[in-house]
Amino acid sequence: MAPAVDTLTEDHAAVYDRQLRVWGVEVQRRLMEAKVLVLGLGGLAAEVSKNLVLAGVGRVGLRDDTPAAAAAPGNFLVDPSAAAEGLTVAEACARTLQAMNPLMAVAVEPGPPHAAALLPAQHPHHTRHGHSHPGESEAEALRALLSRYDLVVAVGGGAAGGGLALEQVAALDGAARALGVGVFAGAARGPSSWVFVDLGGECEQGFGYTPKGETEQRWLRYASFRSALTGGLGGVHRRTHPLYLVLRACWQFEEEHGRPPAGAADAPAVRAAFDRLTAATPAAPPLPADLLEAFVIDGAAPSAAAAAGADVAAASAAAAGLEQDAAAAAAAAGSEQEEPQGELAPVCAVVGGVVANNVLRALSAANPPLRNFFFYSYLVRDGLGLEECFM
Amino acid sequence: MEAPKAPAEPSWPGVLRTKEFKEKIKSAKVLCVGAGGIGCELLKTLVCTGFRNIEVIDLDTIETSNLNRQFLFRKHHVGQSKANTAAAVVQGFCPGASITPYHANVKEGRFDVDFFRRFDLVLNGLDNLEARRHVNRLCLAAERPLVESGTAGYLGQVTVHIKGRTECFECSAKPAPKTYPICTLRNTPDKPIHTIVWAKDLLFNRLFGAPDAVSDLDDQAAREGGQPGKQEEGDKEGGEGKEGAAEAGEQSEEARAAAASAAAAAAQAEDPSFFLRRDGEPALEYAARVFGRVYTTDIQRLAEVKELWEKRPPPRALHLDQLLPPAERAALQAALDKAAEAGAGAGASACKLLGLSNASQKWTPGQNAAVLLLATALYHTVRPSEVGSAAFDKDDLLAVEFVTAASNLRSSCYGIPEQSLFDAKGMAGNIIHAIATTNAVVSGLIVTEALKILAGCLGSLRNTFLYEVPVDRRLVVPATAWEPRPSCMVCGKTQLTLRINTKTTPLSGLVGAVIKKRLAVNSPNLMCGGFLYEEGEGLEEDEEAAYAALLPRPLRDLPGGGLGHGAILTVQDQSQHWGVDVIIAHTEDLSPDDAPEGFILEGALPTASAPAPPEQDGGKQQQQEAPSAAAKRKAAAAVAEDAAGVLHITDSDDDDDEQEGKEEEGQQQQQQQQQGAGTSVAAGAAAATANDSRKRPLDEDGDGDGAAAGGGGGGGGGEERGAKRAKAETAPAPAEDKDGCIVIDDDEDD
Repeated sequence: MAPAVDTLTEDHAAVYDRQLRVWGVEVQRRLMEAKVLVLGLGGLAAEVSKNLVLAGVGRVGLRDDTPAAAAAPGNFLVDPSAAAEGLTVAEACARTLQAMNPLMAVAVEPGPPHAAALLPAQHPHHTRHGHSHPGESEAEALRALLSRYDLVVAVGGGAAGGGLALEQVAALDGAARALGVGVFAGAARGPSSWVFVDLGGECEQGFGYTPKGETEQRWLRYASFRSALTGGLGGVHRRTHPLYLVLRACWQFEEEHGRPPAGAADAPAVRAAFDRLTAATPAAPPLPADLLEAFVIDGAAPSAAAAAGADVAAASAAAAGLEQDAAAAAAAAGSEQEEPQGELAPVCAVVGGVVANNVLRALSAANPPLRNFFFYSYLVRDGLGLEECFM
Repeated sequence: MEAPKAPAEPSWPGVLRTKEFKEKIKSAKVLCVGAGGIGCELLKTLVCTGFRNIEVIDLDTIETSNLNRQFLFRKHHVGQSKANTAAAVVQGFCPGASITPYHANVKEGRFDVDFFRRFDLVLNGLDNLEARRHVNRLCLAAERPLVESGTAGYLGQVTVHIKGRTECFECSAKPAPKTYPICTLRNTPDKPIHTIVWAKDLLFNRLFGAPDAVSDLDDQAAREGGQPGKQEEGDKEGGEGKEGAAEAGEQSEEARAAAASAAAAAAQAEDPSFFLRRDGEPALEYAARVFGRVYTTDIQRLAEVKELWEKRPPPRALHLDQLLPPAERAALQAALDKAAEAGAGAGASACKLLGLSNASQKWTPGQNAAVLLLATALYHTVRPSEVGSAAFDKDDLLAVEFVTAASNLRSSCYGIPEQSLFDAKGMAGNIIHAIATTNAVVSGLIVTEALKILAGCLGSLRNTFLYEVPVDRRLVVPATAWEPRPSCMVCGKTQLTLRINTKTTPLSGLVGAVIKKRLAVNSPNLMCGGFLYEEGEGLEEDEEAAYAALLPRPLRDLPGGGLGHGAILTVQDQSQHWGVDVIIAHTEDLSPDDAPEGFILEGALPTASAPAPPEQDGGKQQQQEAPSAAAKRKAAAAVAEDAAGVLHITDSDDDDDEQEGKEEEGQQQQQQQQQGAGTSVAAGAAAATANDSRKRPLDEDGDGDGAAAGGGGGGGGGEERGAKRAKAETAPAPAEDKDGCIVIDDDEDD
């Protein structure tokens, strides 16, 4: 066994050897001191969590009190036995992740896989998981939880995976921003995935980092989610990833309807919002067929039939493994084209790797992380993974 | 890629929503080659996508340094089979899946064409070029689609290979591993890697290795020293580096001018017995004697070879007494005694005894000297049984300590920057940087292409590259899969020309260095007129003996008229269902610059009836490349231009079985290939090729895709050898054979 590398123990040096050769001792040391909260544990979040734990992030907190029996089908961290033991998704994932890397700490943070507590009390809808509106104390508890971490990752959780309502992303981002906590938010929906990154204030200098091999610190400014989705459209051009405008159209839908789009029936309204946006944009990117519709449908909650039997279907899915049996069971309720696909595993793997890699950059402040969106879709330019910046 | 011939491909990715396709995923049979970094991620992504019938092959066992990314493995799995463990763990979280593991080498005979035919998809997560080429050939023979992948650090790449439709893995040249001219290593090092290779391959073997362990390097030295008559055997690589730069070109003029004198001096100086410990010689005194020889007298002697130092400063000798005063050497003796009393065996560490606990901190010259002496003495004191048979192993701490100290001391003679133990270990062990995130992304990209293939959405297939940082905002970049290269040695139809000294090279040299190493042939079957040589399963003992007896004979003196100038050697590999014709061009004046391995292998044009001047052929043929293919390549090059840092993965060889690959810039490869074409059509090639009827080297199964450019011709996979050969011989000369360039790569597995 190799001798200790600086402050790293022999165990660290042995296990982390190959990545130390990629990013060096100093970055590893910073990662070991960092704390990341994962809010919601769907398939994409499972990928991100696995990657962060393997890298040796000091503390990874998991918050998702969904019963393990109702875990998102793509969450490979939930062992089939967890459902029978009555564990939550966070508990089941924590067990797997802690075994994956005993050199760091995995913590279960009690609470739901969303940030509805941060929404204004009078708001007409809360979450699509059907929780009643929490009191101010719950909001304070979530803020207190955030304040104990350096960065929060919210990329989908619960049974569907498909991501927080955009309004919740904005609320989470607002709270995290006020606390100086970094935010990675997003979702994988069928063939498409989006990621938003906010690492720091508009008034302050923003996110500081020191590129490898340099001594001078550099700064990156990030925008809030709200301003990134409501700012001027001047930056949009023909090569902009069309998912950015789809996301804005969904945001407008939420503002108008007080809820996220909930399936194929809402697609025309989102489409109308999209058309209004492109009309206001001198050079909007072309919209590939099905991109918007698939994004709306695949992000929706499982259909009524599936929802009614969610526990049963998911339990059997969990018992049988990870597959899309739950979705398949639900498919009986509607046409194939209108049934949510949920998260696709290969998309989660690609985007989960990209997200984790950039979370590690944000934590180690050695290289510039993505600023401030990442989009990936099978439907856009053959699966081009694109960084976009909208402030 | 051409528009699909079938009128209606399913729409991608809409097909993913259909029940029929979900059923198809469930019943598809998938072969995963490799259960390492990419393999673990791939197995997970496959079952999460709904695949249920998976078989996985990996010969490796789990090591601690795998655990940071091969997430199916735990510490208590260290030492166990990767394939078996991965299968059990995946089956644990997905009981509905059937995962069949093979703890075996994919090159074993049981994984033959019939085995590959059982699968709908073959997905590679391999760590070495040799195995990749083998799987490529089997996929071509079995006509099964292959998705190939590799990672290095933050870079990743996934490519799709479907016979007749996209290029095969070997259509593009892969970079040759870096080799270092022996006289650079011995006389004129100027980079850290030079002294590390010297310490690992020369000094370590001299002191602790088998007596013949350095003979390959001696052979290389002999060749480079202008003694072409000396025989060569097998691998001659200095061993290092996978980067593929043609470092041999760095050998300087003056170094070559001085080579003869230096080599002569070296031959006299390097009487191997000097480096052996004498009876009764105290271990530390022995170590000090070696030090004085290597770092004092040898360096002084070299510094006096004036020709070497006309353009660079001569090395400065070290003196042990200055680096390590007698009092400190006494302390070494005490440390050695302590280790001997403690009975430290394999875990003995000079660093621990000396309190050098920080692996990333460079040692002082005195510390280097202390480590060198103590490590040498420890070998003789606590691991004496290994002396005389040791081989460098990057996981052997004492060996790494020795190499670090030995190379640093040499570096200080030459003014080369010294290295920490951590860095020296990485360089000496060819350790590939590897992180989990890249493997995860690559697994997703592999499964994406696998789904397209399974759905029949062939028009949507893409080769995809993952960049380290966004280039022009793009981080994950798909590119249209390239068309097959008509001149591909493997999936196309071409002949090779081998320039070699047929008077002095024995058959063993041809078989080892050219056939097995360069051509990646597993079970060679060589035919030329009345000459036949075979290896592999199913030979009788007397046959084996007869063939073995041929090995020492020079090529031109082999039976059946010999393999002399102009002979056409048919090389076949039953296990790969592949073959190629090699035209022998006898050449005596091969320079070490051009032919560091003692031969030159290059593509040749299977000229029709009238031989054309070779130089012209090269240029012309190059231009004649099918316009569509040329355009595609150009487009591909354009794509890659703004993608600095994106590599075309070709090989990785972290020897501890990682499945990641090493990359090289895809576009560069294309360019290399084309540039290579211009230079490699060598004089002598055309002369040998004219009028030969056996223009069809390939005996792979050519049915089915035969119409496609580059599709192989010849016999069916399972036919008997003779029949296949006959068929190959009578096949018409391919009109579309276009170019004369094959840049063949080597690979280097530890």
